[in-house]
Amino acid sequence: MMKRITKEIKRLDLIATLIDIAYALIYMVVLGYFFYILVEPAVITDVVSAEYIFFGFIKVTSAQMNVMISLLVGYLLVFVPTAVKHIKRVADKETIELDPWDYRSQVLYAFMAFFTGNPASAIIRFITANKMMLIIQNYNLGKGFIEGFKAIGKFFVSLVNSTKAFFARRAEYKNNIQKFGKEKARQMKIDAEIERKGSLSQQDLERVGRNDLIMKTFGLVAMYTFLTFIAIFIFIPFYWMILTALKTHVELTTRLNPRFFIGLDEMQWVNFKVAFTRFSFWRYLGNTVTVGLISMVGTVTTTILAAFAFSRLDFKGREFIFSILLMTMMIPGELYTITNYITVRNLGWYDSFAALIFPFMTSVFYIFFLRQSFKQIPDSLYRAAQVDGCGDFKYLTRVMIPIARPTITTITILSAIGAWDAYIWPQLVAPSQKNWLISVALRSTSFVVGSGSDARPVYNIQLAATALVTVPLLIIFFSLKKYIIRGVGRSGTKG
Amino acid sequence: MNKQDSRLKQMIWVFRSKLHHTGVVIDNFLSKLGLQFIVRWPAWLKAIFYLIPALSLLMIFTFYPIFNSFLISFYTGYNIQRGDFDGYTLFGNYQTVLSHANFGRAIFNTSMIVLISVPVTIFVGLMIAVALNAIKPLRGFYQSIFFLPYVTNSIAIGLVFAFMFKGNVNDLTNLGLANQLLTWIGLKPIVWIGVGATYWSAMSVILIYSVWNGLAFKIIVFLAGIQGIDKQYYQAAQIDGASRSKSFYRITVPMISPMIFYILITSVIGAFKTYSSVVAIINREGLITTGANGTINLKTIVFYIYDYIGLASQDGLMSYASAAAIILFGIILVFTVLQLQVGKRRVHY
Amino acid sequence: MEIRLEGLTKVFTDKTGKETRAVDELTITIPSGKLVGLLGPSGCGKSTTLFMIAGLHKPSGGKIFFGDDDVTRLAPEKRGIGLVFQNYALYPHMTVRQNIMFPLENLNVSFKQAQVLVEEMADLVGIKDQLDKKPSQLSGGQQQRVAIARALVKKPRVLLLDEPLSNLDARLRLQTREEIKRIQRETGITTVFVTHDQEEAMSISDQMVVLNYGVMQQMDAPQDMYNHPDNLFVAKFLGNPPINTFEGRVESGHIIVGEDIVVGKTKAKDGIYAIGIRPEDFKVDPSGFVVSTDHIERIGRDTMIKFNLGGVAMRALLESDTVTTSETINLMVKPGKVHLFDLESGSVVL
Repeated sequence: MMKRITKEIKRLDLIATLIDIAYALIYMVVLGYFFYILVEPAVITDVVSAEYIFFGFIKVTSAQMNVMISLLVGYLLVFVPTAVKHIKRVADKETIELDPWDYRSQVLYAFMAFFTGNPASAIIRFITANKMMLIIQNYNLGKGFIEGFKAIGKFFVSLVNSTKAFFARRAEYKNNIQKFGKEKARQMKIDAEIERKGSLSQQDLERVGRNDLIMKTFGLVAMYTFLTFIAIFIFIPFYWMILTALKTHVELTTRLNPRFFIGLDEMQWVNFKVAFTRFSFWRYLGNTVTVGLISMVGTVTTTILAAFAFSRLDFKGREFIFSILLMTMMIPGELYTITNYITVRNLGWYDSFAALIFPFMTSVFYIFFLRQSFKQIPDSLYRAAQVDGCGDFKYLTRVMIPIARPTITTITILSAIGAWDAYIWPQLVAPSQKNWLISVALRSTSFVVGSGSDARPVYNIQLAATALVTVPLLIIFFSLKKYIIRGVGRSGTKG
Repeated sequence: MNKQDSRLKQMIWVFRSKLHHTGVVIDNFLSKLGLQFIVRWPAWLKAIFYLIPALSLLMIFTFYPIFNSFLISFYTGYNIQRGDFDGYTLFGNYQTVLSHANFGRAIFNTSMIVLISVPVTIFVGLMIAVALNAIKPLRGFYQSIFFLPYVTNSIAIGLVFAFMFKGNVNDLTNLGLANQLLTWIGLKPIVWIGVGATYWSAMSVILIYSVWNGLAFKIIVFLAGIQGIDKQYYQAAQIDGASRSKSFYRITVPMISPMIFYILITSVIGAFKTYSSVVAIINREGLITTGANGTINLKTIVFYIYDYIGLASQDGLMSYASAAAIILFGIILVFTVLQLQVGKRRVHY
Repeated sequence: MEIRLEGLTKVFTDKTGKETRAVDELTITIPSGKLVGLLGPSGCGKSTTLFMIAGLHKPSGGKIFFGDDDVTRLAPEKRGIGLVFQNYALYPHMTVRQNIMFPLENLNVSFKQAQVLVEEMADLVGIKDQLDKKPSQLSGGQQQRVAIARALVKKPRVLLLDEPLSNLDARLRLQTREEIKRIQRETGITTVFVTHDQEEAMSISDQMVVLNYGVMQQMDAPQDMYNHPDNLFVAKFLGNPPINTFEGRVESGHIIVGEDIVVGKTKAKDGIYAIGIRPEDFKVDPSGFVVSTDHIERIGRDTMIKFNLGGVAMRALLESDTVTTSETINLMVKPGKVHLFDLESGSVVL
């Protein structure tokens, strides 16, 4: 009985997730369409107030468009990551242990689906949640709720009681001091406690425990406050960036106090479109993605091969060469830049993609990092494979790489996003506009209105462009954050 | 799902079997002819094959440049376009560089960044890591937020910072976020980085940005380190009656001292190489040209180097860039060695 | 498939140039289809021997034969051996099924055939239910069975096991050694295993080889070796509680301890010898010599007493029924159970 229900639950979960994904895709297409039909202003500082017509008769104003787009973006921001998470969970072949959290999250998702116009998924999830409850509570439906509430109630009651008792004792202690003087009062207090608790040491423990609880709560509150402040500090630039990107130029230049929030209907999503089309960001994005992908492939390949050689193969001078490589990590990149500039010119690679890719197809840091992971694979595994007739290269591909997969994933991700951040080198060797990488473009493009000494930057468009540069990376980060964080953390512990 | 699964597996199996089998056949064939050395490579030959991709790239783009930079720093009148030079000078270029007022300024600027932002970032980062370690719910949420700066583009965020710190006393409609906050608490807005700024106002912005940017990586590494400490140490301390702060200073800090050390070294090296953040926040020249306070120079050492690279077409100036780069390397080397020496005694493994 | 080692030698040279003879001129024949244990203290060269038979170490001298084939220079994968490592060496990222199938990839076996073989092996070792799990999800005992299955799946000529029981807890050890014995019986493969636990070796081996410092001490069936050790080392190595050893002399066919206590008769020449008597070879006998008990331990069926015989401290393991709590006790040695060893060489005399 148990097994069947688990299979059913999985299947239901799968169906619901697929529906969710379908909805997400549909909404994404709708969003793309909306962006496509957005009307750009003739002059970039103007505010557009156009009328859009759907299906021939529904009239929608610019403001309403803004609202719709905002809602869609919000929806996708929430649902795409959760959908990805769900896929991972459903695709897991292992049998999952159900616990109350799964149940609660199913109910949560059911509600979410319901309120975002996804009734099919909502219904399925409600059914799933129901079945989960059957298992958890051993087929006793209502009991779980009741038990849960009872427990919470009990906790609160005991908390209230002990607080009351505590204050009562304190009051009595104070009374006693007045009546009998401090010494006697203290003695009476201790006696009372002994009577209550049975022994001095137990009472001491309890006092320590109680103090601990108060301290702990206080400490927790302090910590959360601290963390929240820092989180706000960290988050503000992002928030400010997106906020400003969505404002109108008029607002930015005339309002006295910049607002912290703007209404959904005032979000000027068209600014993004302007940044995209008016400033050719397609091209720069494309450049960056190309360079990023190619250098990632190159880096991963060279790193795996080199790390294998340094960890598994025995050859003379292995440690010596490796230490020299390590030393180069200390040297500032600027030292290379000069000569590499000359080399690139001599090779005729100036102002081409080759200059952007080749110098960065390998990295000592990654080789070091991967070698550490490779070294952790026990020798006996290699021997066992050897006995089974497995050669070196086969061992590398069939055993070492799968085992070191987390590290390799981290390296892949980090090397891919390296292209995103690069500024100095691309600017030096690929200065013509058609070859700009995204950071170069950002700094070099001037989003100004007016000309000459009158030129004033159009901040909302500029920040929209900045957001366009930042946001894709953020999305990647959020989907892969587990790997990135784990990988970076591990690199430090071995450092 | 299952049927397709196993068919796929079967195909993979057959492919691998055949692949291996062909290898064996070739091997046997060659063995018969006594030519097996073609495929049975000794370890060092195999190593070369595996290392060639990485090492050749490193040769061209890392080792050769280092060597060449040294050479260039000893030339006079080196012209990059013609590729020739006039003569040699042992320390001439170095002397010139060291006596440049600009270079002195650059050293000062860079030192400020190193000496202020690194300790602050490490200290705050450590605090945050400890706090993160102590809470359970929402830990992932906070972690994600704190890690955001790591994955973002420094130029992009630099521009945002520049935007947030704009404005001045006169034009109250154009205040950036920072000035806005100042007016809220009753202070007058100041010019942070625009025309009319002072050295320290601009430097503060750069420092704030450095801290903001540097926290992410450190928090992650420290957190991983703290989480790796065996709980038993804390339990033993608790039984011995140690207070929270005591267990922090006597257990946590020593046990993650290798990590703190690693972060310290890498942060110092990184701070000495500050460049793009200044470009993003100030501008591509690293100068704020103003009326009242004169020209504010915020160039870092790397700035100085790139300035001279930009002038490479003029004779002899490239050598200044080389010399400056090597001087930078020297400074970093000295700092690192010093830290290693201190570390030997203070760091526990 | 019988395994024949002729003069097998392995010399290790470390960085300073110091040489260690891990295995010294080892010549033994392991009969086909038998379960043979390589036994000895740590560092005696048993694992090295095992790995040389496997082909993972190159011998410094000597030859190895599988049947009539000289495999000394043959690569490991060509010898047809199965090896079970001490820590099992299972590929953590593959399922049990994939682990067991891995050796077959290199043997030109069809997919269907491979699957059948895997099922067969899983059945044999008893892990049929675990085939789709990953090693980390299995217990130690189960992991070891997977390792055995993987070693056997290619139907090797020889099965080698490196310290198979040392990573298991006491309860599992009993069970697993019975399993190993059973598997070996069912498949009939010549099996060699390495251990430092003599009880383990004695319990399942058909034959045992005792090694010390790379030199073979004795090769015999377990019980024979126990009752008739070839030298002092073997006598001391086998048996728990350990054998009592001391110096004594032979005078006119009597074995004498201390001043004048006769413990047995012998045909050996007069002289001074190293003498060994196992604790269980003492028995209570009113006509025997009197000793005062220094210490008594009652352990259920047996009672162990510590006493002094002719100035030498000894232990005796007696049946509890025969021992009454008293300060003195009368003991005798069971006939023929006194072992005489040459003082210098340690080898048995008679």
